[in-house]
Amino acid sequence: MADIYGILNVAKGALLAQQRAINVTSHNIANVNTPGYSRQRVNMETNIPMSFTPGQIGTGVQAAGIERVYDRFLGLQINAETQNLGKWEAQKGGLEKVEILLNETSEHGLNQAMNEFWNAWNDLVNNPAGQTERMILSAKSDTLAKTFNNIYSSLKQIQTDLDTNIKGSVSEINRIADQIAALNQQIANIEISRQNANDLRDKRDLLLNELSTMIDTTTSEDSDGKVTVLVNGGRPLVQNETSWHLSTETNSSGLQNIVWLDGAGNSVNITDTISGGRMKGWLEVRDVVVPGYLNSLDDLANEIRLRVNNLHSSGFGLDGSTGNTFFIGTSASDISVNPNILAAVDLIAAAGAAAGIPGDNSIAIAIANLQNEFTMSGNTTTFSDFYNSMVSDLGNAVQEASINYDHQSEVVNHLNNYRESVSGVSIEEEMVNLIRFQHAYEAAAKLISTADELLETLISMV
Amino acid sequence: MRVTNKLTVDSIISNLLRNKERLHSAQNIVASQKKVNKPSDDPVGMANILGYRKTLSASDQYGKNITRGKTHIELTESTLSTIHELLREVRRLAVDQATGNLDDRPTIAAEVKTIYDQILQLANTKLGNSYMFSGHRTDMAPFSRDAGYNATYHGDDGDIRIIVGEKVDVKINVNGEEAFRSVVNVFDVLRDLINGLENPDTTTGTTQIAAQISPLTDSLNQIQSVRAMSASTFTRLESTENQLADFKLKVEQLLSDTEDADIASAIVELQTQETAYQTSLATAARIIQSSLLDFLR
Repeated sequence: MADIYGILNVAKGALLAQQRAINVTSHNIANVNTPGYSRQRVNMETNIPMSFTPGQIGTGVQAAGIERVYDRFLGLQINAETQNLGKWEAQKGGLEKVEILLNETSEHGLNQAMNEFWNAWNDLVNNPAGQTERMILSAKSDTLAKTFNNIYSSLKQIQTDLDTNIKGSVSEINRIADQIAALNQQIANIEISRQNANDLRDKRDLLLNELSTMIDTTTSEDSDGKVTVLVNGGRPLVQNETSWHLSTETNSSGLQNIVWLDGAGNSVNITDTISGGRMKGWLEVRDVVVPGYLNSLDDLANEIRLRVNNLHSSGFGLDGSTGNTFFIGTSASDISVNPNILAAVDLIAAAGAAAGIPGDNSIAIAIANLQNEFTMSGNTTTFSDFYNSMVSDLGNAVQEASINYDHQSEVVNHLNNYRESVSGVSIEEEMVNLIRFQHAYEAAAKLISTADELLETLISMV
Repeated sequence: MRVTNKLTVDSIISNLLRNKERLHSAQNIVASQKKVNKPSDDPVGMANILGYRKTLSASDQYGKNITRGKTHIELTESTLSTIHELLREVRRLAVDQATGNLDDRPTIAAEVKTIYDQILQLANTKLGNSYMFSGHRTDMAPFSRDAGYNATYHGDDGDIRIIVGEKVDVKINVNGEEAFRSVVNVFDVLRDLINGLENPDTTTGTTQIAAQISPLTDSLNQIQSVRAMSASTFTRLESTENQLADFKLKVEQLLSDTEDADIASAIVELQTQETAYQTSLATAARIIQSSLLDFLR
């Protein structure tokens, strides 16, 4: 074949190969902004040469395959770090909501309400028979109780919101699992005929990354190109072309547990095994952080209620009544001023003895002094110091989550940049390639016209 | 490293966002003039800030309490001082009468009766709606008398206390018992004096009058001693008030040190961040424009 027709064949092969390359270049350029896209390139190979005397003559070029430029190890690393990032992101977000709630910098928080409450008792000490002082005290006490109620219910609301997020993510995870299973099948079908399913693999990698932001999983790829995705604890989410679903079940505290469905109607609680992704961050805030603050708030409200009531019920109101509780309720959620007191402020007991009405203020003094007594944490700290350290704790937690989040996003950012550096499309590079392939194409076309001229010369000789 | 278009754009975006965030927080500090704007800005500082605020709020309240106590004592003092003056006048009259001057006895008797009522009225002084000398029974006038100038005490020996500091309370009242009935019963002494002055038997009357001089001196001493007690409480309140003012100043300073931004350095920081942001904008504008395409056309 090392004749003029051979030249024509080589030229034809070259035209086709360069055209393939231009096709791939155009695909790269078109997908320059597609998320998760890995640039592709044509592998050009020489055809099998033919042996002649004096030596072998090449038979031109062929496009042997189209493959994506991709670092598999990098993808796995990005997914692992993304799980951490998702966790800190969700935890930071949740904590910041709690922080806004307990923000005392505005001077209108629980600390302020407590200060005003104790000051109102001081005012009653100064004028135990005064109607104005009594009205103000009952109003300030009401404000204090309502501040407790508000913070408590807002914390509960945060818990509910996180619960909604968790539920939403579960259906998102299921959707992704379904898509990965479908892609598994498509990829296997294509690759069985020794083709590279480049674009589908990019899509699947993107989905795996998306999954990593939500929950921690382990993935492995088998020889026919299918990935297996396991959630922590070894329960499969995707295996071959099959996907399993997660769901939620209401637990004893009225919140949602995350369960894995085996497909035969049985569910397994996997809430405690989740250790990464936004899921983990939300679970952490919902099940550990918020309940902790709710408990502290309860402790504070209950201790104030018990201590004040204890003194108050031993005292005597202006009307001579005794044994009245000042606060009612059982926790921070429902603490309130005794409605009888709100209706008749004469019931407020300032006097320590019936005979001392109205000038006796000994009970009012004792209650006002509670402000500075070590009443909390096993009688080691005052009410306000207890609350202040709670706010400080929260500040620390937010700071820690922020630092971790910043660090983690820096890590993921770095890895993504690295991935982009390997797999990303560079327009400059593609332009240069385009020109390169165009010139090669033009040269191959010139080969054909040259072969044509050669043939013409040959024919005209006859 | 292979730098692609997306890489350039991503890093421009993330740098711009980071610089803008820093600019924002610098702006926040300048606008609020506070360096602690939320607990996570400075968790330990935040706990201190809340502690200082509680201390300041309580100190303001103690200041209010002390002012109230001082008013009470000042009124007590001025009332007792008037009563003291009146009793001295009575003793002067009694000494006069005991040494034989008999002519004016009905007039003097009338004068002492007037003074008796004046003292009674003073003992029934009210501060706001409360009687000052009736102990806990502040709703009841402490003293009343019958036609025979027999006085009855309606109050009790209750203490009125105010809070002047953390778990410190101070008694501020003088009750009727202490002022008028403890050593001698002032009103009984006056009654006996009136009886002596009105005694038709002037000789017996003189003896009766003379017998009241020593109790009158005791009455004066009794009033003086409760005045001294009040005065020492007053001094204590005043020094507490001064200490409180000093203390408040120090706590305010601490609060300001912890919470307030140093405006000069905050503004310098703001300008630095502004410059950084503008520089990153300018850089972005230059990098994002250029491409090989510009030169291929």
